[in-house]
Formats: sequence, C-alpha cells, structure tokens
Amino acid sequence: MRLLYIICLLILTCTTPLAGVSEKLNVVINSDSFNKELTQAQIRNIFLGTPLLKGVKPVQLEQGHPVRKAFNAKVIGMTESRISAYWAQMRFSGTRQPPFEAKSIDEVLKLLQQDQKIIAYIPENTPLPEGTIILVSL
Amino acid sequence: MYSSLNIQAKSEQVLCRRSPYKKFIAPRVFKLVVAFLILGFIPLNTLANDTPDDKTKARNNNLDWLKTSGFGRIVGGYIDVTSGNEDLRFVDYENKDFSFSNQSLIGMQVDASYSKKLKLSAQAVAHSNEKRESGIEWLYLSYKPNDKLTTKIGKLRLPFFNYSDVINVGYAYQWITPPRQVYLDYLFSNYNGVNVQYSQALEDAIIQIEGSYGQFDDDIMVQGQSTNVKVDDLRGVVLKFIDGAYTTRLSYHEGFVFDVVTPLDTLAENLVIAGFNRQADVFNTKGKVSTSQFGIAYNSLTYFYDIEIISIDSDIITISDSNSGQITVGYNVNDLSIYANYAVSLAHTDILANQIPLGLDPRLDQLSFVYDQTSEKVQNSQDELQSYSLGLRWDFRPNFALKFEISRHIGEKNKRAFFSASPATGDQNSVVLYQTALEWVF
Repeated sequence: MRLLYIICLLILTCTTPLAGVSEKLNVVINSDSFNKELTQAQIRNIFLGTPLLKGVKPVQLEQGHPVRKAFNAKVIGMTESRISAYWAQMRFSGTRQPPFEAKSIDEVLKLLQQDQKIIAYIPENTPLPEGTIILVSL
Repeated sequence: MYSSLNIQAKSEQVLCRRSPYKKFIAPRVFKLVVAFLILGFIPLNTLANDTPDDKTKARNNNLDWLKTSGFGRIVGGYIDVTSGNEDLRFVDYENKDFSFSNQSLIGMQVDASYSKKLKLSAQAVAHSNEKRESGIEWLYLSYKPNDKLTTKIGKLRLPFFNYSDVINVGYAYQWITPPRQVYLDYLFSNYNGVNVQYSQALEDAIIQIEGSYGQFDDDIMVQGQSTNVKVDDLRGVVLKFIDGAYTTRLSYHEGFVFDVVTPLDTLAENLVIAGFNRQADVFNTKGKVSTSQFGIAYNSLTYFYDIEIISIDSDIITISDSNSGQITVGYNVNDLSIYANYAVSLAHTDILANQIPLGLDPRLDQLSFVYDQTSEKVQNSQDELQSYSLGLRWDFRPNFALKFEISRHIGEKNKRAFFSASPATGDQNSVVLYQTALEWVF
C-alpha cells in the first residue's frame, strides 16, 4: 500500500499535463470562401471529425509534435491518449476517419498551398503561404 | 427429463456464439493474423524512414482507395476466489491460474473505397479464447452522400451502449474488461441489416442520430446445445449530444426472439396441457427483449468520468429483467491515467407461485417438482453483482497502451452473478481479479 502511495505521489508531482500549452497558434485555411469566424468549440469539433464546414479537411501534426500537444491542450482539451482512444472508436466502428497527419510544419504549409479545403494549425510566428488566412489565433 | 435442465449457465451459453469448427479454426486464424502482423510491421518501419515528401506522395497517391488497419490486445490475469466455490470461473479465469488466453485477440480491418461516397469495409477478429467465435465481425457497404449522412448495409454491430460496437478494441476504452454488468455477453452484437447515422452542428454543439434495423440468425449455445436462434425486427436508435467536454447518450434497442427451442419449451408445453397457462407463460422462450441506456461522459485534460445506466426488459425466461450501471472516474497526467470504477446490476424475474395440486396424479406431481426445481434455478441464475475496480493506463508510445487493473467482484447471495456457477444456498461468490494488458492499434 505504501508503495502504491509513493508511485501515485511521484506521478502527480513529477509530471505536468499542460506541457507546451503556452505556445501561440494560428488556425489557418487557404480559401477566402471560409472567412467566417469560428469559435474554439467549433474548431474542436472540426478536428474531431464533425462536419461543420462543407468539404473542409482538417490536417493535424503527427503524435508527439510539440505544436500538436499545444493544440490538443488549448483546443481539443483532452490528452493525446484520450484522443487516440476516441479515434480508435471512430475508425473501428466505421464512423469516421482521423484527420490526415503531417510530419512537419513544412508539410502542413505545402498541403495548404496544394488544397484550398485544408484547415490546419501552425505556430503563430510561421509565415503564411500566399492566400492563406487566419481563422483563429489561440 | 426436466432434471437435466441446466439453467445455471444459461447466460454464458446463450451468449457465446460458436460454430462447430471453432476449436479447429480459432487457433489457426490467430496464428495467421499474428504472422501477418509481424510481416506487416516491416514495410511500416521502412515507410517511417522515408522523407516527409515521399510519405506524403505515398499517402496521397491512387493507392489510397485501399486502407488496412487493425488492433490487438494481449490480456493476462488471474482470479483469487475470496468466497464461494473455489472452482468457479470469472471472465473465464480460474482460481489462481494465470492466463493470457481468455481475452487476447487481434483484428484486421480493410476499407476499399469505390468512390468518395461508396466504400466496402470488412473487419475480422481472431480470439485466443476458443469459447469466442473468430471470424468476420463487420462486412458492410457504406454510402456517404454528404458530410452529415452515412448509411451502411451488411453485417454490422449493434451500438447498444457506449463501447458495444468496439468491444474488441481495448485501446478505445479505459478498462481492461468492460464492466460485465453493462457490457453483457449475451447481447449478440452482430446483425444483418442497415444503419443510418446523421450529424448536425448546433452552434458549438453537435447532435448525432443513429438508427439500426435488421435481423439475427445464427447458432448460439442454449442449455448446453448449439441452437439456431432467430431474432426479427431488431431495431434501435441512438441519440448523442456533444457539447465541448460533455457527451450525453440515449439509446433504445429491441428485438423479437421468435425461433428457439430449449428444454424450457417442453416444460411450458406440459404446463399448458395440464391447464396452467399463466405458469406456462413464465417459461416463455420467445418474445421481445429491449435495452435502454442513458450515458454521460466528460473528458478534460485532467479529469474524466463516464456514467452509464441501462435497463433490460425481457419477455423471455432465459434473460432476466435488470437494471445496471457503471461509473468510471479518472485522472490524467500526460500519458498516464488512473481510474476507479464501480458497477452494479440488479436482476428480477417474475416467477408465479406453484399452484399445481399434489397427490392427484403422479404426472402432476412430477410437473410440480420440475416447476419448483426450475423456478429455483432461474432465480439462482440471475446476475446480480457489485464490482469495484482500480486501474492504470499508460500510453507509452503512439498507438500502444499498457494497462493494469485490480477489481473486486461481489455476487449477491444465492445468485450466479456472472460467475460460472451459482453459489451454494446461503453463500455468495466473490473474487479479486488481477489483470494486465497491452493494447495497440495500427
């Protein structure tokens, strides 16, 4: 019992669930036709696969990327493990597929230039590709 | 003849679907899928070394029409019987006998897209436990005319409760063994039919409606014998409301069991012949079974909870009316989550008092004896159980999770309570279950 108590104490004191949350982000899209304002809850719903903007495809960074961690903390509001579990349920019940995972910010920028229906998040200080607009700053 | 009735194990028997070839096929399928997975990891690792550009091209090219994915779980554990019969089993675990073979499984899913709107999907699962049927779990054609609407037709799974449709995907939920009181084995989840899902955004919230309709026709174990059971008019509706961190879910499903033959039918027939129609109705094995659910879940960076309350309303003797629920509360710390769970089930079966007169006819005397004996067994076979669990989940790398779970399960006195056997009169079964699991998706 004492061992269990010590383990729990170590877990609670040695880790922080809000790592990376301070990073500033922009949620961007490469199309003038989607210039409506979106709330943080609506951005969350889009990245959880809910059809909010017709034809819009969210792109996220791969697991472990610090920008993704910041986005999860600020917008999704769940830990990576809970999000992964959510997508496992969606995939294997045939409900919906998770967003495409880019390996880097550069790949996100390339995708934004290639496809006008892509919505993505990038660090605040990243230069925007031509035609890209900021939907929300977080 | 009636003394051979074995109602004690009815739930397990009715619920466990198995084919006559199961013993032969299951281990072979399991080995084949494991071999496939080992081979499958080689190209995956190779792809991981490609440049982002190469990978992007590979993922965006025309081969995207065919996607494969999968999941697996290796679950090990044992029970420590703290009271009751030491030979009893729980979730197929035996007393102090560590086993990896009860709940381990592996699954593969293939999605073949004909167009953006039309897709064929198949999912096969190989269980290590020979009592569980391995084979095709899903096989359906889906049509998605727009972002909001999805229709499926084929072999599907019924979404009775929060995780019913992904019960094999342990990575998708917190526990190692979902609460037995809610995730009842005997609710056969496969059916042949249609499913329609519709999602609608309401400002910041989302509302989802899902409807199912179909039928079930397969062999299940009834009273120890493989019996073909047909369920018609299988239908259900699920209403889900998602508002930020909160998800509320309401569901209702029902089906009509119309073709099953068990030894209880013979008892019912004899009661009718003897003029005891009301008593005969008690032992009805054909009729409507319905399930209702209310669930609410909350997920945040630090805390989560998941509450489900369900009700089973049954016209047939082999399934009791019951009210059950589970509450799970957890705390997240980065890749770790600690959780506690409480689950309970209360069952009820109406059995009329024996009004068969004694001493008039030896056949009536025998009928009265069998009536009393069967009534007692039906009452003793009810699943009334309380469970307390404490667990830890560690997502130690993307798509992999390690779990530990300790749970105490206390059966109601004189009730079977999801154990393999009813306790002796005046006694109760209880066990402590220790489990660990490796869960993954790919």
